[in-house]
Amino acid sequence: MAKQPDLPGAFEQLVMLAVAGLGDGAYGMTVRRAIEERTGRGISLGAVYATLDRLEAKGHTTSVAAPGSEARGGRAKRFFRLTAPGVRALNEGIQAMDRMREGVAGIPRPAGAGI
Amino acid sequence: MTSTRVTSHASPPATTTFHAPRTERLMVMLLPAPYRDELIGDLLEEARTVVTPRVGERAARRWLWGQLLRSTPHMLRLHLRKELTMRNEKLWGMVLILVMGSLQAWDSGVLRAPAYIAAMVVLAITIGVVALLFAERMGMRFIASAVAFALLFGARILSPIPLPELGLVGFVIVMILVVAPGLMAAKHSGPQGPTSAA
Repeated sequence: MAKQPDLPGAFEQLVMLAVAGLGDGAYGMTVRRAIEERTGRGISLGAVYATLDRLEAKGHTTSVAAPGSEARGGRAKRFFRLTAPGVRALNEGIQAMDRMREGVAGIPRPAGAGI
Repeated sequence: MTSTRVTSHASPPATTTFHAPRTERLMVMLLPAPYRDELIGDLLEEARTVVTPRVGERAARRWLWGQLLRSTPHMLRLHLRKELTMRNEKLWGMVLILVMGSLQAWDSGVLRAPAYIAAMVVLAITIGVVALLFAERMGMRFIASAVAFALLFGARILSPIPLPELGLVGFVIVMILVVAPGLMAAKHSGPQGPTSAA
């Protein structure tokens, strides 16, 4: 049986885009805030961590632990980063979405979209 | 999770003296182990450095409670998912033992009946169909199918091996244990989690 492309879901794509955009500063709090600020949608940190865990299990992200600061009550921090397969999967997901809405009435592609 | 540690990543400085020791204790009690420390740290950091300066301590406490209540189901589900995967592995060990026992029962003649063969055929087909329906990747579902078919076709080949007597009860347990992990595995790693997880 041919292997199906593993396209990330909508929320996974948001998390992956936030991680990619934040670069070296991507951890739970910054990812959550980035999504909330850009989408205007209130999300819970638990949802972000559950998604990051799923993405890591799929090999789309990796993470490293860092010591906590005073503001965190000394609690550890975990930084996330997209892997090369993660970047590929994210691009495939976005392109699949673009292809799906191609020519659908009332849902135009954003200006400058496409290759 | 990768266990590499980075040495320093500065957080924004604590701009308030916001403290919520009771909520923090409750978070430690309620939240399961995976990411607990990171999640509590993130929430405290955001409450201290972002939320309190913007809306005050009282509202920050409410925000913290809201985050805790909304995060807990996600964290519990994450915990259960990891636990279920581990339990599946243990369950498979039991399945294999009981399958061997049931083969011995077959050899003793107790279960050498048309009903047994029919049940095994139905079982094998059911697990095979479930596996095919949910199989995006091979994995636990493939093993579920393999065990079912091994049970069906291997019975006669392995029957001379001396094994402990389990009888009909063993057969019933085998039936349940062979079907359950297949279904659990299919449910566990079928279509991906919710896309609107918030």
